[in-house]
Amino acid sequence: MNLKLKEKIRESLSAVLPITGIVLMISIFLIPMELGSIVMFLTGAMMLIVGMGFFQLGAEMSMTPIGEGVGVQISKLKKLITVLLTGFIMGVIITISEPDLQILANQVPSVPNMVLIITVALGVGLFLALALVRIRYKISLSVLLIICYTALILRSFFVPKEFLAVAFDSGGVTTGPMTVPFIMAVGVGLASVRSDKNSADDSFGLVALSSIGPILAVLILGCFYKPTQAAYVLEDVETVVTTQDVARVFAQGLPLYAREVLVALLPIIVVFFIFQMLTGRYHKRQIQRILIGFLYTYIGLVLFLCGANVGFAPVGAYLGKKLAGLSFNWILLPIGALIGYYIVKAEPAIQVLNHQAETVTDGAISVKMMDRCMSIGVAASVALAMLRVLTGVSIHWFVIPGYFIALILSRIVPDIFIGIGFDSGGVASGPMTSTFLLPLSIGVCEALGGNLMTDAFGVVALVALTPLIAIQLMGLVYKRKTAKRTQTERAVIADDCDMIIDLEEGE
Amino acid sequence: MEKEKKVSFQLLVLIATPKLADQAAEMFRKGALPLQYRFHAEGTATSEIMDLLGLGNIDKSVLISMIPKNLSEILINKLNSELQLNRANSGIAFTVPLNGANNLILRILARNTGKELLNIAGKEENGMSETKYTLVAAIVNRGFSEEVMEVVRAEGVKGGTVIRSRRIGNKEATSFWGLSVQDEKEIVLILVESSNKVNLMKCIGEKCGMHSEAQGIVMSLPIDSVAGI
Repeated sequence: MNLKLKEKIRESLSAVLPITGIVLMISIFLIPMELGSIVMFLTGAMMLIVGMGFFQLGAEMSMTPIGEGVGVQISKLKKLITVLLTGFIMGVIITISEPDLQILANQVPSVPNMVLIITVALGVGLFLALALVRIRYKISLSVLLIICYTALILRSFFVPKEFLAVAFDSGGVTTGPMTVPFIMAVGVGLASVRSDKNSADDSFGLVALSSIGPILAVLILGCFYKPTQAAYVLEDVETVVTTQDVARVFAQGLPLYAREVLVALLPIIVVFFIFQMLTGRYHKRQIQRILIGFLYTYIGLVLFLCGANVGFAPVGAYLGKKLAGLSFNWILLPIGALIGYYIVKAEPAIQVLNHQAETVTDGAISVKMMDRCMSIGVAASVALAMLRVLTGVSIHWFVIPGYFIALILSRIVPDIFIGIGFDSGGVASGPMTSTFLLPLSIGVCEALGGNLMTDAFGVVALVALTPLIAIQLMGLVYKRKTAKRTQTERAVIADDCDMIIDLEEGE
Repeated sequence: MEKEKKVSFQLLVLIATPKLADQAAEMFRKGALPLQYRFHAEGTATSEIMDLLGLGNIDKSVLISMIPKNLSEILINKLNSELQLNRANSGIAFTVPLNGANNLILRILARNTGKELLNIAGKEENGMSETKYTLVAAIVNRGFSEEVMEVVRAEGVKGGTVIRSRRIGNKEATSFWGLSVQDEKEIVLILVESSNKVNLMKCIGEKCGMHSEAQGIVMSLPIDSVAGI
């Protein structure tokens, strides 16, 4: 069998199967579910697996080469203003098309959708431009992040608390499966043209800064609009009886996502053609490959989003409701952690980040290490989110200390971990979070009669926060290890070590 | 020092799937080979269609290690038998002669290299190839490695390895010699039978040389021993 195909199948299986197994176990031991809904769920899981495989392959063939090419060309731009403009326009275009942003807009009914979408897109554009300037002028990422997040936190005290959770969620939401592979590849492209010692570190950090834009945008909008209750309607588990019903429900969903993903993909394809016309960077075969890659990405995302929204979301909400209704509903904490640990593996963009980290560091940061860190981080965040829904504590109590720790860590860990860490936040909170974790916590919240806007939302924000800490902690461990090693190495080096011996002379 | 000079040294190169490279690295570590470097590369597609479908290039790891010459045959054989390099798509290993080195490298190699490996020698089946091989390296603009592969595939070559790299030449190279302005390059490494070398290099030069879009330059390196082909 084709090795590449085998590798991709194995990757997608190991991403989706664990979370599927856990939900099955919960349905057997804790919350009995109708066979119909389980069949829906399993069908969704199948679509996730196939979709994931196609998406990974497609992103590798299209998003990565285009992003890298754009990055390389940007680094060749002489004038600052063209760099700024390119970054800004690119940020706006790819954000407007991000499917998750539409969902977010619906979640904030008090702000007209168009206003919200445009503001968020402008936010991403501005911050992407800022991120490019940062690399150009070698401004420390850590310093910039500290300034930005301090501004954010200060700003957050002046908005109605109903906006707070949604605002922090928006940061994670907007950097979805479409933007992440592209922006990350731009970073690698930018760095690949340089050979100074910062180049590897600078391949990361673009996503990190880009996810600040939306938060700020929503916080600012919060001043102008009066908050109203979210109009988020939970979809009930469709009552399906026959296999025909299952097929019908998915068939109804499919065209919807087919359109949505097309809208999301089109701007990037347009960007690609404009870019190709301007630079002529790719030759015929590469263009063919990239187009096939786009096709894969399209098929993959349609299947993935359809499977997640139709198959997973209702089950998430149902589980949330029922678990909250249990007399021992504290069990949500460990179950949340367990779900969090495995659900992050099924985020489509996560593999892209992990592979990027491994390639850029030549294996020093391995996919395995990244995987474990992300899982631990998200496990903690889902448990915290459940705690928040159960108790109704303000998100401020989690976000402020969380970012405080993350920013302090950013002063002491090696630079590359700052970039990867802060990028990982935006990457971890992708479509799986918004289609499974969010309905889960909304379900819990509804069952307990809490305030949706303040209690249920915010789960995405937490998922986007904890990986920053987890990955930087890994950086800290890494730093200590290498520090020890260089100490012992230094001891043995003799004086004449650098003498060159010509072996040909000796013969 | 005198004694050390007389020992000759080689560079052992292993190009294999990351998993096999892990195994090899572990084997080297056990065998007390102190100097190992590892980097990332891509195996080329088996056919044009596979490349277009994106099912071509698989991740490969390159492991290089400096070793004394007396170990090279043993190591190549051992790699061949333990990693089963003769299976398709697993990997290749070869050695290149070294003719100069930093004092420290020599000292490390002379002292403690591969004693344990020597003990296990002898019984292994001979996995080394009898034919003479040469390593052909073509450096082309990024994205053109598949063009090179297309040319050499027609000449019967099964596969190659692509290393992404960046040219850091000076201005003179671009303006005077006409080397391309594009700095991002791909190095395509192909192991070929020595008898086929010149023909192959000519073919690459014709199709992917400086006059083509690929703007490739070609060179070849001597190879001492090889396994996995």
